[in-house]
Amino acid sequence: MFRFYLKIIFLLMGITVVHAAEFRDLRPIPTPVKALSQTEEEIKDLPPVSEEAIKTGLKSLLASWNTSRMEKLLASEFYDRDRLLDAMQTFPDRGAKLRILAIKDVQILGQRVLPVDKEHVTRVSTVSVNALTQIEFEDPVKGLVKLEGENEYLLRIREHIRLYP
Amino acid sequence: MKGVFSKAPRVLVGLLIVLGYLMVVDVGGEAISATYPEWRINLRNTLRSDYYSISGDTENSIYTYDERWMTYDETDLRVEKHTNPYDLFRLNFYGVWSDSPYRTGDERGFIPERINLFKEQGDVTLPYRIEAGDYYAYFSYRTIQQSLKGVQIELQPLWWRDKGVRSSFVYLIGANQPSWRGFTVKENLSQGVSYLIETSKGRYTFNLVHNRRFKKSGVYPEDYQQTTYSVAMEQNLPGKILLETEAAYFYGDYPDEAFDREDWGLFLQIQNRPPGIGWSYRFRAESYGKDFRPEGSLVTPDRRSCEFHLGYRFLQGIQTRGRLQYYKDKWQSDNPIITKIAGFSLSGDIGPPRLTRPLNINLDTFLQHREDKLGTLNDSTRSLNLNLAYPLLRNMNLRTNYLFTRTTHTSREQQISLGLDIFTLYNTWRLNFSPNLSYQKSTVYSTKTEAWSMGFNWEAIYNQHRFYGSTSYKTQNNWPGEDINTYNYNLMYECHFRKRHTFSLEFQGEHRGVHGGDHTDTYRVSVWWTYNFERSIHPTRKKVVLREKPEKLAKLSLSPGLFAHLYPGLKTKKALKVMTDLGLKTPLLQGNMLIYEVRLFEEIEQRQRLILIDEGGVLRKTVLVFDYVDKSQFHDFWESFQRIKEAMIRIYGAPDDFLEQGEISKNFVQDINSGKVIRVYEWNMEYGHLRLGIPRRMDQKVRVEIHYAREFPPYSVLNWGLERLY
Repeated sequence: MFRFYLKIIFLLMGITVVHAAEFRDLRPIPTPVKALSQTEEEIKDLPPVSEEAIKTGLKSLLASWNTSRMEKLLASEFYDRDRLLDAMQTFPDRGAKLRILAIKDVQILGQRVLPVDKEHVTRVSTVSVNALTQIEFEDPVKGLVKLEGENEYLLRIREHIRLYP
Repeated sequence: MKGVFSKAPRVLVGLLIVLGYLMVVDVGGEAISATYPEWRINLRNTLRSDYYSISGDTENSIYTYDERWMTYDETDLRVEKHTNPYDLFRLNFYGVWSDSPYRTGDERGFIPERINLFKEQGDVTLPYRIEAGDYYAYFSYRTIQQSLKGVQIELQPLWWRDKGVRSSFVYLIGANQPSWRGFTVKENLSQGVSYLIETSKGRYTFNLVHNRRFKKSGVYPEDYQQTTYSVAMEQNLPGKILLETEAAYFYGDYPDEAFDREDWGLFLQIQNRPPGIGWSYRFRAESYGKDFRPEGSLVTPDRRSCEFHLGYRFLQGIQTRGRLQYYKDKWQSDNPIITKIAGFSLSGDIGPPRLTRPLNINLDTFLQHREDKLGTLNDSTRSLNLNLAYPLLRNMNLRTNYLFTRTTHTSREQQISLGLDIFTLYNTWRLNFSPNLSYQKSTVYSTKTEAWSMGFNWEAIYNQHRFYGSTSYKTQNNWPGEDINTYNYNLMYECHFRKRHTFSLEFQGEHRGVHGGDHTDTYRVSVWWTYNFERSIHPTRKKVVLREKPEKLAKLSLSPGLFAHLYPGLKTKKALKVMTDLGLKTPLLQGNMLIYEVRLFEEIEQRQRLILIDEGGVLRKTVLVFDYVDKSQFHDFWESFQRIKEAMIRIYGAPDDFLEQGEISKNFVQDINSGKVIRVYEWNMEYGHLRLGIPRRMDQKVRVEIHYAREFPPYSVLNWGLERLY
């Protein structure tokens, strides 16, 4: 029997689950040829990532829009990462906000467990969330400008899990 | 506010229906769990109602839809079965019943949003994985990477497995569509195959994707078909260097009446595997033709680019990075646009000699020059963004930000902001306050804007209750243009009860006024209730886990087992009698705390104090505090903490829950107080919970504490210790 704790320590927006490579990863199917380790087997019984944590993560990500905090949340392999951040820095209105109008459906796309040492593992989950958002800023001529959009966001949730005793 | 209550009965009826539904789930779930113990069931249901109000100048309202209650109910169901470790079946269903245009646009009623059936089997000749419904199709950045509705099959043959080689074959088919309502495979259908092989030297893949968008009036005037082929690899080179490359060929059509086009997408990247400390570098080059437009890919057509990044991480954790980037957009046109960027960033904690606490710095600066061949575009941008954070006091952090950007002939902007984060305790309340102030000045072409804004955020947490509020005021002066004032206010209450339920209430309002003109008032009232149903395949935990025999624990002595006798809810008189029986008659009195200098852990040399906290004649909490005077000896501290933990495990068994985060190092005092290092262990007891840990303290002292109480704040609350004891 083991004990575990789950904590989201970081949230990223990105694509691949583990590799930073720009093509797909091979997620091995457990087979008796290379049987699951005790750790992997037990981890399979962990409950899924909580939806609350996923939604909180998305809120943090979107709240960081148009601020320097976004740099820390955007995955290193996010395509055109620097250009997005540069464009954000030169956005015409620093007071512009991104409002979440509705968080929609959520789906866990994939999970992978990485052994850290005998007692620790890291579980990385890739999650897809749809959200309806609105960019708002005051234009001196047009008044309040609203740019509504519905987008799919990919979040990477990294959990450190410790097995016990 | 009258309108808020006008349709309340409708909401109540909805609430009753959902309550009935959840009761059925609750009872039915228990029955299913008992009948099929190998199935795991997770159900989450959120019923939410929002009321929107708009008055005044509706053109400038932040909300689009007018006054009424808008209700929706979301259900997320996950069912999973492990027949054996190599055989997994899973069903995910996410659906919503909606009466809210914000939640589901023009669609109303019940809408299935995500359906996913998953089957994986490894104990067969050809291990396979099948996904049906909603899945994420991902081969590579240059071929396909998007959500599809359809089927994906993956086969992992066992060829050369004994030589450490793994391979995977994927076939997918599916349509990229936002909803299951009105779903048709004819709208945007993709099919693809991918073969991937992994060895110790690297990873190699071949991909083929075909996409078809059928002719449909109002959407696609013609039938469009396209095919993309790609080969990609990731190769480990000597010196911990990683080489990545992909070559993709596109042939086919795309909207804008382009037919039978062909083009290439090429990518190359070389980087060193970044060590913990020292140099890291990355070189990247890409080239995409103007007709390279795979439907599911991410890349920008008609662009060539080249980048070089160089970074250095210092021993103290400071990280620097420099970058040089070159982009040639529309490079196949008559008027290509060339962008050159040079940037530098620095981040980390620095500790100048006169500062007692480290200053956190985050600097990002870049220069950008853009020009096109015909000379219609020629501008330069300078940008500097500096963020500083410094702990002024033990419980007060100062944040500042300065931003400057200037683009020749176009714009110039400066912004400075200051903020404070204050956290404190008042009895059992945990309070956070964050005032902030900012000033912004900008010129965009001939328009000048100056804006002041101030805000105040606060949060109060009391056990399972959380209150949150924020208010902000902004005044914006425009030349030419009208001056605008906006005022925002937000109040929220959240309560967790009986583990399965969360109730939340929120009020958000905004006033927007134009100087000498119209004004707009909007507000939104939201109420939602979340219900979590979870049936694990594991048996539920025992309420009390005691490794030592009860009769041994029952023996009264000055040992860690004493907690079993001083439980929350015990009359204080009886607790005093317990202590008297142990020969401890005169505690030190401090408020409602009775303090004993005792040694419950014989093997621990540090000062130990046992505190009984009285509340109206009843014991509310029993606390044991270990004081550490010499903070420099982190090895001693760590060894002592481990011994306390081991002693607790010997008596109370394995903890029922715990959180360990960060490693104990020389800087453990700062790390504990900054939240980098967390240690908390909990045991479920007959009358509450025993918690052992190292709480964060406002006086920066490091203490190990053991509490026996009915309930505790969540692990995220780090300052759970006994602050009133000095």
